[in-house]
Amino acid sequence: MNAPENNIRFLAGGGEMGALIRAKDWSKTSVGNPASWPQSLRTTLNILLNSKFPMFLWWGPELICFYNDAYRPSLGEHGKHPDILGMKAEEAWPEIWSIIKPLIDQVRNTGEATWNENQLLPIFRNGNIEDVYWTFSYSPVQDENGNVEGVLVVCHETTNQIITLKKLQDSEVQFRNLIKESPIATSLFRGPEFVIEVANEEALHLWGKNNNIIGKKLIDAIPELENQPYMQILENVYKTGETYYGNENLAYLEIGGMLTPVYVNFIYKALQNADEKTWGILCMGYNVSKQIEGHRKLEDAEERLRLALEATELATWDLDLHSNEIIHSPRLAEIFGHNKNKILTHQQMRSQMNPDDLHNVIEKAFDVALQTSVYRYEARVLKPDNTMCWIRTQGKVFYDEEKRPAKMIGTLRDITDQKMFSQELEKKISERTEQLKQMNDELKKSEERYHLMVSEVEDYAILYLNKDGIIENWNKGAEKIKGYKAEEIVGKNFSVFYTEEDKQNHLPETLLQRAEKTGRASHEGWRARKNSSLFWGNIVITALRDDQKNVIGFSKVTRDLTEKKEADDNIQMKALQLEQKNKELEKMNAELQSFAYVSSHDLQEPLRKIQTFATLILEKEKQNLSDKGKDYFRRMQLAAKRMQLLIDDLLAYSRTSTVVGTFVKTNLNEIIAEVKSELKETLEEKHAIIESEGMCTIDIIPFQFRQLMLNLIGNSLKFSKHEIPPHIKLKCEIANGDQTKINSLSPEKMYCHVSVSDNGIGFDPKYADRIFEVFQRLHGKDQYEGTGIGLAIVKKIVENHNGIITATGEPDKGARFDIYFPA
Amino acid sequence: MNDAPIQLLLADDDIDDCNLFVEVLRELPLLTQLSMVHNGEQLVQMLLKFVTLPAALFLDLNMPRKNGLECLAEIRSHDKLKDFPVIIYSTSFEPAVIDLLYKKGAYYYIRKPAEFPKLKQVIHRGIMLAINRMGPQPEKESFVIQP
Repeated sequence: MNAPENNIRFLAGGGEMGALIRAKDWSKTSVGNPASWPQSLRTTLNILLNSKFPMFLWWGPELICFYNDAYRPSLGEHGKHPDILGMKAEEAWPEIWSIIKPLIDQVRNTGEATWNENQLLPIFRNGNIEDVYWTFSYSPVQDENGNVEGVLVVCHETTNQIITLKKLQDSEVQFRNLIKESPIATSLFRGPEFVIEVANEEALHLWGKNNNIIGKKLIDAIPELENQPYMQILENVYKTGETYYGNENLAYLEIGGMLTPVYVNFIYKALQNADEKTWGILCMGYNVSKQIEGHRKLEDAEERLRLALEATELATWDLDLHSNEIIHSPRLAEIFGHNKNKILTHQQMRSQMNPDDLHNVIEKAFDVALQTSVYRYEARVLKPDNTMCWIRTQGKVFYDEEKRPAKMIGTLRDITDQKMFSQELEKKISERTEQLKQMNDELKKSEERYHLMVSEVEDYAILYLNKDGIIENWNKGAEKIKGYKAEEIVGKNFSVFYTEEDKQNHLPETLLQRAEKTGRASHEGWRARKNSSLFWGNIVITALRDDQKNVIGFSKVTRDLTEKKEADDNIQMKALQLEQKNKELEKMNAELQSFAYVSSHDLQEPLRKIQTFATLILEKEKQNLSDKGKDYFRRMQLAAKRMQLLIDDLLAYSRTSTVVGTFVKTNLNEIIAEVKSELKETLEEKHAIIESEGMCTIDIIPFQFRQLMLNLIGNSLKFSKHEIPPHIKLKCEIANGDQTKINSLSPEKMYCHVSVSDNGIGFDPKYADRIFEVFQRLHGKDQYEGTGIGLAIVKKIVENHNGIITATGEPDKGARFDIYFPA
Repeated sequence: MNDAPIQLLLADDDIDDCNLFVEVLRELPLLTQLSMVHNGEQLVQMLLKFVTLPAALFLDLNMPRKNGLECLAEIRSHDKLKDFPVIIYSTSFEPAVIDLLYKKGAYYYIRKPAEFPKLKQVIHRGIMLAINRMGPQPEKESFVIQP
């Protein structure tokens, strides 16, 4: 198809895109043949194709795409070019349609242009979706009637700038991180006013500041830098761009509120743009104060050494042995008492020496020096002001080629102070020696007194033994106790005082060893006198030691305790005898009890038979007996009955001590009931009243306690008054020892208190203890029957319960028994 | 009315006591037949020979060769004699011994009284208890026969 050339003149030129537009068959698109294109499209395309600026046009309702050569690179290789020419926008840009559609609509609806800068619009090109940044403007293209027919896009791809910018930003972040992480103090000052842009922890630490100084001008952040050279240096670096290296520079920084001297090594380096214009300064440094301090100390030490050397005040001299000419340092003149500028000759010096010293010391030393080459002496100098001083000279002889002494070089020093000091010392020592001597004399006197005292002591034998036990002295006491005179015994071994047996057992040696080991050994035992008689000795041996703690001997003090020993032995023997007696008694008692038991047990049988046969005779032979015979018989029966009672009581009594009872929790009411039933006949016969109160349950030996109550109640019934019915009161309570008011009970312990009181005939209080003894009776057999064992049994039972019993009473006023035993 | 005499056995070494026992039986209103042994060894041998056991044994404690307590233990060791009524018949009255005898299986305890009439009473009571006995060992409360 051939489009008329004049019709599409507006498409003339336009490079590659112009040719493509011309060549395209537009009849198949919604814009139709170019010949029919409206003027506004033609004009716009003409501008577009002739522009060197990248342009793009969407035309018509379908937004058909046109673009120029300048735009073409933005589409890349293997992408949309040239396919999207004449394509609908929606099909050509599916990947960004959602972004650009609203922009296009906005332009078409409002008729106003848009402006976007560095906008990311990823497009398909070079075989991929690529992130592409654009700065672009969408502007409306209107027809003659002002209708928006198309949207012209003028754009510029900024992808490269953006990427460069990003890289720059990344590298700046890295740079800042590098500063932050740097192990040495690093900071960055920007601009000619040195605004602190970055400062790492080390830098802040070095300055003694915190990170709120970031962003401040350096001079505001660290005001103490004013009047210090650093601001000037920075300004210079900023101006010249030359790096500055600071070495061990002293800076005063306010650290912790104090202006502190800090030594630093640092670098100021200018930071420059690509055009070599300085925009900031990188500052790196570290604190070297500690090293400097070390340095300073070393210097100080050297200085001190030098001063010390000077302080020795050594003078020097140089003597020519041929001419006797001497050269000396000014100090020498001073030592000799002259102005230090005075030059002394050898002769002058010698004339000032003490004549004795000159002759006895110096000349001799000089001769020795010529022999040994070492010159040395101490001598006195007489100063012009008539004061004296001591000097010490040390020198060395130097020889010429022929080995002849040529000269002497040496030093000379004033040693007066030292001399004085040692003289003072000597004086002190001799004074002290004198004091010691006096003390020694005192000591000797006191020792003599002591020896005298010891020798006069008579009650104790006090002697000294050497370390082998040989007797060295003897006092009066020793003579008195042991019978030897001093001349007989001194020099002998102390073992002569020991018995043969002790000697065989090595007792003397053992005692010495013990004293040596523990400082002291004491012993009691039999010792021999001179006449071989024995005495009981109490001996204390003490080791005597010298300053080095070596044993040098022993003191031995002996007392004669024979009398005491005999008395003690006597007491001990008596005690032993007593104990034996007690044992025998106990044994006898036990035997007696068992005898009582066995005998009374065996007596029962014959007695019973006598009684039985007596009853048989009375029953069956009564008619054969006279009245007198019957009376005798009854008396015999009564005697037999009494004997039976006696035997029963004896058995009960011995049973309480031979039979071991078991404690059982028992209610006293049960015991009382049993007793009452046992005594039923007597109670009825005597019209007796038994009142009981507070009977508790307690640990007792039941059969024994039953016996106890039986005996006590029986006692009350037996000793009731004639014609007055017995009234017996039983009472039981728990009380602590304190409340009972009885001394022999423990105050804190709890006791069971059982009391039995009656209205009977009572007893004389003086018998209160006696009534508990076996076979003790207060009344005649005819008056009141009984064996005198009942209360002894009661006491025994109370004792078996670890308790005590008391009896109180008065004649005719009743009796009262109180029993206390542990509850 | 059963005319057969009540068979009784007395183990006692004391002749006086044996005679008194015979005297008592003679005076009691009971038809009895008494066998007697005078020591412990004899007693057990004899008991084992019986075809029909006596109604009761009156056993003295104080006997030669084998005392009453030993005899009791041996009697109770034989199956045949486990429920045989043994009445202890003694002069002594020791609470501890009495407890022990009950534990060893004695049925009753008689303390020989001093008066003859009382002696009659307790022996009579003992015989009646033995022949009217129902079941094994009686209660402890009724162990001691009081005159």
